[in-house]
Amino acid sequence: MRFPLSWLRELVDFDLDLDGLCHGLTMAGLEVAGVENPAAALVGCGDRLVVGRLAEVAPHPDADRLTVCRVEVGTEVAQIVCGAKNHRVGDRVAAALPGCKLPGGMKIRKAKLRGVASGGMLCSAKELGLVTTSEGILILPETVEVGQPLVAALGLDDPIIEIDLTPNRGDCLSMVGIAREVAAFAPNGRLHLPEVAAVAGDGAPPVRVTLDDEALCHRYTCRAVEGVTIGPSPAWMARRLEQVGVRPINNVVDVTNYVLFERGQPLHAFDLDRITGDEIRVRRAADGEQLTTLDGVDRPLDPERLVIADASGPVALAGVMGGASTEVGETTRRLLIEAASFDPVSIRRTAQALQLHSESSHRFERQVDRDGVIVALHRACALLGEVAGGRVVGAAVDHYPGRRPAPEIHLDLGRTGRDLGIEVDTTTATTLLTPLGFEVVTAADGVAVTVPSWRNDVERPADLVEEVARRYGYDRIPATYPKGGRPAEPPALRDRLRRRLTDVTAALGYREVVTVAFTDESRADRLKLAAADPRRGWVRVTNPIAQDQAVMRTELIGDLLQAAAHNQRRGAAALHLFEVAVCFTETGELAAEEAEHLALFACGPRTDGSWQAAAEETDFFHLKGDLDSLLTTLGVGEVAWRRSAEPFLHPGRGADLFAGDTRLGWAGELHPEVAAAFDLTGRCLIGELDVEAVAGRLSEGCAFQMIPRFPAMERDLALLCPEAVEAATLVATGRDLGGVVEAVTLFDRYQGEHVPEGMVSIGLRLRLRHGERTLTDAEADQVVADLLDRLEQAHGVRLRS
Amino acid sequence: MVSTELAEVRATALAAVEAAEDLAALEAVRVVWLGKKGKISRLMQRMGRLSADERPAFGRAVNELKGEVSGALATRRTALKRAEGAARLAAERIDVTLPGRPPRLGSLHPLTQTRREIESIFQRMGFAVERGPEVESDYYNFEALNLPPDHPARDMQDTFYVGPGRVLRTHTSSVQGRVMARREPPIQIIAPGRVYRRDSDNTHSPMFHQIEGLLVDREVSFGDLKGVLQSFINQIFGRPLPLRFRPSYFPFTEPSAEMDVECVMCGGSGCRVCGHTGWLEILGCGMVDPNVFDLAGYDTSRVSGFAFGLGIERIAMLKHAIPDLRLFFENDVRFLEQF
Repeated sequence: MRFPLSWLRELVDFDLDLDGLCHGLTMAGLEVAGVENPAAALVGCGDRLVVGRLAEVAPHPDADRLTVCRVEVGTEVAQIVCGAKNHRVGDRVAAALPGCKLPGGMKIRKAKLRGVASGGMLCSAKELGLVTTSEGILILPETVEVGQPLVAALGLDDPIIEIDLTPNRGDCLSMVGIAREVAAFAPNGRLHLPEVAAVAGDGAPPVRVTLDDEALCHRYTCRAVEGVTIGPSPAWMARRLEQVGVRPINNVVDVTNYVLFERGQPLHAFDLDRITGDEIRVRRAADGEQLTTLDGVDRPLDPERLVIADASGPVALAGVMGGASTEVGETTRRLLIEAASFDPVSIRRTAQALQLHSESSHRFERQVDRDGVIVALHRACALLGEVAGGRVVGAAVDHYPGRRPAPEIHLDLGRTGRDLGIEVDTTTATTLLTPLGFEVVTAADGVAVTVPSWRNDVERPADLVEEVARRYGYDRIPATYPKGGRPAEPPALRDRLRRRLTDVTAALGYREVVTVAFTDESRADRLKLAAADPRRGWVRVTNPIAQDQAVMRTELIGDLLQAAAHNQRRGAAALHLFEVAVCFTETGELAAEEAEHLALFACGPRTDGSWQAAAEETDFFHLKGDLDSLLTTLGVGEVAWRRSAEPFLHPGRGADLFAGDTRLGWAGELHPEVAAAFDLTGRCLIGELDVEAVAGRLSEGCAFQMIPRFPAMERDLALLCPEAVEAATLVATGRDLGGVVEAVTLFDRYQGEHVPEGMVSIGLRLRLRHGERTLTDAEADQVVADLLDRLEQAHGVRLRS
Repeated sequence: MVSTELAEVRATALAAVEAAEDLAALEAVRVVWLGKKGKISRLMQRMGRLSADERPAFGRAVNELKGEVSGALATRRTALKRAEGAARLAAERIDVTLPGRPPRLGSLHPLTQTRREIESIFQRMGFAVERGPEVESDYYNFEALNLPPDHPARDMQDTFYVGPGRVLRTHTSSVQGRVMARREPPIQIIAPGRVYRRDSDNTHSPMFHQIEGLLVDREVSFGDLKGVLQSFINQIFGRPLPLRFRPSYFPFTEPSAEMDVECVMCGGSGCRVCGHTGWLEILGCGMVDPNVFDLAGYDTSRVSGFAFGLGIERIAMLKHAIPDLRLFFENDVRFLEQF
């Protein structure tokens, strides 16, 4: 809601300057979003921009398009050459004299135009920054005083205040509502709202009204007005409408808008001569009916829509928009003015369904002052008499099925005080609430408060507590600290795991990224996901912001690939990125499946390299080392790496990670086709873990293991293995020996000279230890012999000679 | 004669020791003089040819000589070792101004760092961390928060819908209802997480992060809310900053407030960041609306509470003077490595 300061000052007296007013409004909950003053642009003009009167307009001797004007600008007369065509002798105009600096930056100087001296410029509204487009120079009303500075003459020094209103304060979508607030908080605030009285009309009302649906229409009032002459509104009214941001149309439409902004009550004017029959029905539309609204759009209707209908059918969408068939036009002489209160939910649904949000629907959605409906109607009729020559006919029609007694709320002052942290007694409550129109009387254990009809937002004691706090001043309530202790709860295992997971991954040299969870289905194609892949079970966004953000991600790696590509395009060669975030899968139930994942990405050199040696290129085994370290640090037991069938992985360089039977995730080198689809260059290493699966492998805390007291014995074996035997098999065979075998590690692998084709040389290290004594060489030799025996029998592995 | 000869041997041996240039030469000298078949050892073989009278004196003299040469060898060895060590160290001299070998550094996203900082401040004040789903039911995102269908306040947030009765949660306030549905008061929680709104420009991202706070107990006051939030602001910005609470509206709190903090950029004198008001809007808060308690089945005559919700991006932008929200989600490593 935006409004000029001058309008507010007309409705309420108060002792505050502009800054004080804005601060007061903001602190009352009517947040001032901005203040603009049209005069600010004309500050460079000073008294060199004045009202002039054209005393003489003569053709320019040497130019057809120019005129030489003699302009009275107070005591003197200026000669100004002008290129416009819309000016005549006697017109009052805006004259910029030498020394004036116009909003566009133009400085006015004495000059000669085609040989004729010109001492200034006659300005258009656009040149003065008052409008964005204009034709010809600005012709001022005859009432303005010649020689006066233009800013003062036109009242341009009138700040426009814009306030952001919260949805509960429908009453403040009006000048009267804002004035009530100002009167309450400002020093010496005193309201003087315009007197509104019903004017008696001769004869009987020409239409009757039938209210078919009292649930959707709480009150319907209307009155006929005859003898109107359609024409432009008076300047003061047109100007105010422009100031609040509405284009003036004609005096009748302008009156309805003026009252809407003054009192917050939407009105509608029908051309009474275009109403068919003598009955207005407020009813639900029938299926198949339609209405051409004022904007020229044919709108199909259904029983969800409340309409105003005459004998011919619907003539207006109640509370949302009028119909074209009864629109007020230049020839209109008789009016039917409507003021009503409609059900907010019905209006909201209609406005949403038809995408028709108007000043009217906005106010009805937030509820209007039911008791004030008739006041607004009287006000409009009085103004129509004033500005359009209209005469009311008959009495006002007023159906008020939704009349309610003024709500009375009991307020427990002890509770109020405790809720706010201040002392509230009857006097305080009365002093704070009365200026806003509440009536406060003493009652048992507190006060009884009667709510004014315009405060639809105050229904319960809590609403009054807020009013007390608001009027008391939030800033005056002392800051305290909650009493009593509440038992502390330990962080959940999941939270600790997520934190540890993130910390360790960062410690391993990966940078955390945060990506947005929306994606598009084509990403699944770029990842080569099969048609039946569960990762195509997206949660779909009904109203996406863009088509490439229409589904929620089911995997995290795609986002990392995009982040990596973004960085590669900007010249980054070495990248180590990770993210922990939720992936979504559609379940068909109310709750989607939300699984937290950790994804890793790496490409390029392992480190920055140095002057001594180039850094190694990151490969599968770097990633594997990182993931193994991560999982070991977290306390996941042994992790098995088994060849993976994930379609986006290099078919020979990908693995699924298992702890026991649980698949924790996958890791490997990115398939080159997928890399290309994501615009990535070089070998990329990726991995993704299901955090829930990892969490399932953890136990609370970890038990200390005694440091061994007896020395270990190490035996290195040089083995010749068939190529097909996987490293994990060799290691597992060693471990399976059990007993004194503490660890088996593969420390060397070699293929080439001196190794037969199809074979590979493997260095296997056994660490043997007995818990209670030192092992003997003979015992160790026996273990080695047993292992060699098994390796040879099961896998054809021999000791290298 | 004997003594003359011994004197000669002594002189020659000591000279040889002194002449040894390195440890290897010194060892050779030792072998020549003190080895099993060395010259001094061989002197002892002469004992047999001496008379019994001469033997003790000769033996003593040879032993003394042996001791003296051994001593000289040891001294020389120490000297040579020291010199060799010094030479090695001299040869190992490096240019200490050459660059070090860089390890690869990882980092936490600034939003994670800020979230953790906020979490730990509230955890120290006794708040426990709770979570809720991001695909949320209309009920917990709206209705349980006193936002029935067709309520105009639903316009305050542009909602993403994900099927009938489901939304992407528009705020972490959705966790309030979930926690109250499964627990009895007292409740003192914060709920961090991702939230979604249908809005995208340099100050809005369709996905961003919030932290909700909720404290429910007997006799909780608006003053308590102010105290907790003042303490939070002092800790997160590292100094006490003036706060301003002004009336606002949220369907799930009554009274409701917006909390402004004195602009951390200009100190309240007015700048571009604060829109020349001197104040920065930081969070929304208020006393839990009785309808929310009713919906949760709590007895409003016995409990009261406060709630607040703040944007993590907002705090991170202020703490690090980050001008554009989109930097957080672009993930340019040149941005990430600064944190």
